[in-house]
Amino acid sequence: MTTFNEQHPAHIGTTVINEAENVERQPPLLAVGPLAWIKKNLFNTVWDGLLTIIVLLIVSSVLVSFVTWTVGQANWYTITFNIRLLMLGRYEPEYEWRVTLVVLLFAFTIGLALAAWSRIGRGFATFIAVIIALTFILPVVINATLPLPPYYASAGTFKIGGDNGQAPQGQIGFTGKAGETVTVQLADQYDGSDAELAQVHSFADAAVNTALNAAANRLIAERRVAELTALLATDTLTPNQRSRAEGELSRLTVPPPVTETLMLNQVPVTVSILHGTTMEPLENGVVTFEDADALLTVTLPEDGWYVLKKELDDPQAISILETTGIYPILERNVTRGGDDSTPATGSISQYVRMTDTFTTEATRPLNEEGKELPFIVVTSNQYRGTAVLNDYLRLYVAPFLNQIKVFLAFVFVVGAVGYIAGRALDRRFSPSNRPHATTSRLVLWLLIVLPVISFILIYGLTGDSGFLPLTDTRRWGGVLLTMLLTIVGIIGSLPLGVLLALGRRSKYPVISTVCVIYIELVRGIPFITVLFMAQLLIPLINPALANFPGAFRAMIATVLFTAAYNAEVVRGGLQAIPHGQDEAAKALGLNGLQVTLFITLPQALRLVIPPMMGNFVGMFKDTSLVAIVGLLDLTGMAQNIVSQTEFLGLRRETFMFISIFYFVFSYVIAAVSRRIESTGAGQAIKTQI
Amino acid sequence: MAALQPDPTPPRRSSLLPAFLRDERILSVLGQLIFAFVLVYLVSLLWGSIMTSLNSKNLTPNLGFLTNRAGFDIGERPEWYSSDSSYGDAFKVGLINSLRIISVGLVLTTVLGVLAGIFLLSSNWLLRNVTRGAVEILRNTPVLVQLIFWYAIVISSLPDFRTPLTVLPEGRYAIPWRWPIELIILAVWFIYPYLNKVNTHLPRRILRTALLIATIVAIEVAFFFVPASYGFAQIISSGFIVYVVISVVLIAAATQIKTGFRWQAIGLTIGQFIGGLLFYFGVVPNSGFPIDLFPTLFISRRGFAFPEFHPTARFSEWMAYVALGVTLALILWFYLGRVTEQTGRQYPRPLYALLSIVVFVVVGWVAVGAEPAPTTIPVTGADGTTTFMPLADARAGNLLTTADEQLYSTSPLLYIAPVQRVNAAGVVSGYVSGTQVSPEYIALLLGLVVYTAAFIAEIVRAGILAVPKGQIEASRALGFTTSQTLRMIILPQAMRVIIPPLASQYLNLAKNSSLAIAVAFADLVQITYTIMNQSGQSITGITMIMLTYLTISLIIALFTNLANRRFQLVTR
Repeated sequence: MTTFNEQHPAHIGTTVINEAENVERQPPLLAVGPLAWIKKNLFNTVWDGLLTIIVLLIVSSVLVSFVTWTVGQANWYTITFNIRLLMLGRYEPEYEWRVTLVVLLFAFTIGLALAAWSRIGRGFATFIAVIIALTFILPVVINATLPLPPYYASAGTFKIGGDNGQAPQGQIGFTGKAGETVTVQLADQYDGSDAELAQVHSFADAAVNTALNAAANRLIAERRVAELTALLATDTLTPNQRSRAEGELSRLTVPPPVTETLMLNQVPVTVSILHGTTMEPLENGVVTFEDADALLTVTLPEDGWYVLKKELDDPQAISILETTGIYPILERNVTRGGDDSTPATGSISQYVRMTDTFTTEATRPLNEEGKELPFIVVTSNQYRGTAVLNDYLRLYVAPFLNQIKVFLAFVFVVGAVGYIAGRALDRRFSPSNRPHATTSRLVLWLLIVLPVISFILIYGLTGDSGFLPLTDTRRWGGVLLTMLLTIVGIIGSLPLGVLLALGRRSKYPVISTVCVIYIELVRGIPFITVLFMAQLLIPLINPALANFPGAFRAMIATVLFTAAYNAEVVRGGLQAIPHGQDEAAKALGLNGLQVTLFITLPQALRLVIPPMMGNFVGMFKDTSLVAIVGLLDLTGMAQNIVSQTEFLGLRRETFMFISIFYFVFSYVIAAVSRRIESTGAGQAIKTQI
Repeated sequence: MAALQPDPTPPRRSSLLPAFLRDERILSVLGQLIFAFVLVYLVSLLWGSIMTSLNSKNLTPNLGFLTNRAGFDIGERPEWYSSDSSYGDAFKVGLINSLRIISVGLVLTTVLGVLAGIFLLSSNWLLRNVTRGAVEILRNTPVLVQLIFWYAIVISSLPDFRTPLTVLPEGRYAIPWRWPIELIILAVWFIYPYLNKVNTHLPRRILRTALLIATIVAIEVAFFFVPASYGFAQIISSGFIVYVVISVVLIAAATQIKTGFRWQAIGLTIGQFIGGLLFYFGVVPNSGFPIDLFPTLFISRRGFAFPEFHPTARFSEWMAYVALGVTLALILWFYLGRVTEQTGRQYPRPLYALLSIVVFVVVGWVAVGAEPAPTTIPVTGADGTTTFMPLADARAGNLLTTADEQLYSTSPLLYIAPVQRVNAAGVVSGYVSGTQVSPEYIALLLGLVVYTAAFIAEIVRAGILAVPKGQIEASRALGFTTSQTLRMIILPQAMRVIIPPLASQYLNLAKNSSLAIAVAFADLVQITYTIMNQSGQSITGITMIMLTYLTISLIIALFTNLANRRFQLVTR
């Protein structure tokens, strides 16, 4: 019989360390680190993996096409040109300081509020400061390093594109600043093939555009003929399709190359640059191009209009000239003066250069018959082709950043000042057990006073106070009108909603019935109906109200509509207060009004802060509906802009921009509301089932 | 001490009011009367001044104007409406259009919203976050901007009317014989374990599934690269030599396998080599059968074109069979439910019910179609005389109208595909048949459905998350499968939380349909606005709109309350 020791000799007294088994091994490849995360979240099962691949394909294709459209095909000058319209509507320029003041006051209050209820880490503040600094630096860098794309002008008298085509214009006006250099040369880097022509991407006048499109269409026709021939040779067509394909093939004709039909750049052309008012050529301003080396360079003597004159002898030939320093122009009609009672004192035409918003109000040059010369207007001299990233940055990103950088910097600085002031005030004045008492009280008072001040500032005071004259409410528009509608809506609907909720819970049947009828009626009809009602019925109440401003009618409609929804939310909050509070207060001798005012309402209102904020975000989005009744809020202004000839095809860009604005605002408010809810500041009751 | 004694004579408060006016009951009644009086007075003031203004313009509100001639045409209308119809008829057309949007929209948005809600809870990080991003974008942009986006941008990106997108792309396709065979093999392989409850997660099974799929993919790839001509003459072609080399390498590799899989691998590789040779030398044909695909849906800038479905003369007979099937399904449902309750034995109730309905539908279709069609039919010629000719000749000669087809067809439902009208020059100019739906309808429907679905997704997600985790853990502990947990534990409790906000989202959809005015869709609000402008009866018009929307909201609220009652917690 063996003992344990004999059977297991190694276990007594000796510790065996088997070197070979104690080697440190790496964990399996897919067990830790980013690969493990990918496996667990994206490729957990086979079907999961397939789903990931499908979603990845869809998302990447959507993103790629979106980015290509944004950079390559979108014309963002509608935003850079119209940003003031979108932000302020047609608000009088001389009173713009009032809006700026209101915005800065709000920024200050937000800074104070952040000091009172939140902590802004140093990292976050530097991050924002870096972004603001970028908006200053980026345009400078972009403008310094990237050149502007050239403008291709056509010369000749031949009508390109057949009878319904375009003939080049002999003289065309452009604006320029003193000291700028304008160069013209033959666009001769193309070796004469249509493929090169079709790929031009830059500003081009209508005739050049037609020629380039003809070249592109010819290539498309060639390719289509090849496609159809190949298709007809296979056996994959139904008889229907076959007959249609044969018909299409017989109708397709491939024209000869455009460079040959137009005798492109093969005939001498004389180009001159004339002064806009005197119509005399500038110094060194007349050159005859006979070969590619000839170059016309002038320096503009002063701000104003100039004329590019092109003369070509042959009636069949066309020349394409490549110019720098000449850029398309947008015309803007500005009305000055006028208010609700007196009409405007006439409109002035401003000519704004697209690339750097250089504006001139000089009169346009006249031709020999005294008629105004055509000028390089953006609609017929658009950027054609797929833009490259350089042009996108230089033409759209830099000017946009230039326009918003000062405003953003101001807002940031004032907000920072508010934050710092808030912290300083707290350190100096707040008691140690409530470290934010001073600032929070200050902010609450400001929040009550600020809307009133803003409204007075923006609308003005009647009477003979020359300090704040009334502004024309018909000129309110854009973000200004949206914000006014939202703020007035919030201020008005909140008390009305509370009253309605209290009335609905009242023990007097008459009052509660009236409130119930009102609430259920208003909640059952669409907002647009209430807007129509306000539009149509207010003038009928009293003939004196026929000119009641449309903006105010919309405000009344918004207040009445949102009050019903607020009433339901507040009612939910009132129901959540336990009966015991009510009974205890009554036992202490408070009467009904005191119970409501001091016990029930404060608790109920704190409870319903999150859903109430959701209501307000909903109202903010619903202010877009006033566009249907003709008010020019942000959406209405966008529709208005898109209906003008200069911006006719640019719907996507404009609406994309305003969607971003609505999204950012709504998302921020919703995120703040979620923060409030999660920190329990509203003491929301979490339901447990 | 004197100071602690209560004052024997309480101070007299002289009250000016007599006793009954200090009674709370009287005061409350009095207060309500005064309130009602003030309210009625203010309202009558308002009403009076409005009436005076209207009367001064001869626009007293009345309902008589509804019989006046409308005088305007409506873009999307049923056939009985013309500009000679009355205002009342125009209002009816608007109501029909609104109901078309609301009814289809409610169904679609529920489906899309629930799907999106499930995606939001998926374990796949990418799917979850992509859906989250989409839902956030949709919820934070105004619905009007979204509608304008759908209408002006998406619809205008669709191809031109003459070259539409077609579902079921048109063409003649040759389906090789191997594809149906491969599909049948795959179907059997994947369905078999569910019928016989085989564990599908064994490594053996996963390996074999992977091998099967790899084999099929390899075959398809091989056929993709097969040269157009092959056979004995092309024995030296590079493709064939590569194939032979790869096959020999595979067979050699298979012989090296040491585990029990060895003989299967060897058999597989030798089999595929022999099969490849057989195919290459033409012993096994690679032909297929050609099918012509005709499009069933045209999508273009001018809207959608669907097939038409018409009930024929035999439709009612078929419906009788279907009714029998539905009755049997209901009987089975309730009977099996009782059996399960009493004995505990599980039956696949939905499967049996569905099967019975499907069987009766198919049997009914075949039985009804088996009755022969009349051999000769009367055909009215252009001059009014009636001749009798065989049905086949009449069909060949295109002498039958839709009504005739409805009479003489052998199937219960008549299917008419949309067909483009192409003139001699090959130019498309319309549709000969098929129901068409305008782009405004599509844009409004898509915009509303997608917008409301984003909100419903959040509601569904919140509802499912509201079910306490302990419930799921307990059901797992009891041995419930995932689908049983979902069906019997999660969904009923989630429904309680989902249905009230879902109801309010349905109401929102109905009310947002009034924004059709922004996409130029002739709905109720738009038409009534035109009526109001033309006849001047603004008060009546607005009242009509309000009453209609209140009725629609009431009906939706009624149904959702019924559903809510079924799921509500019964409390004291």
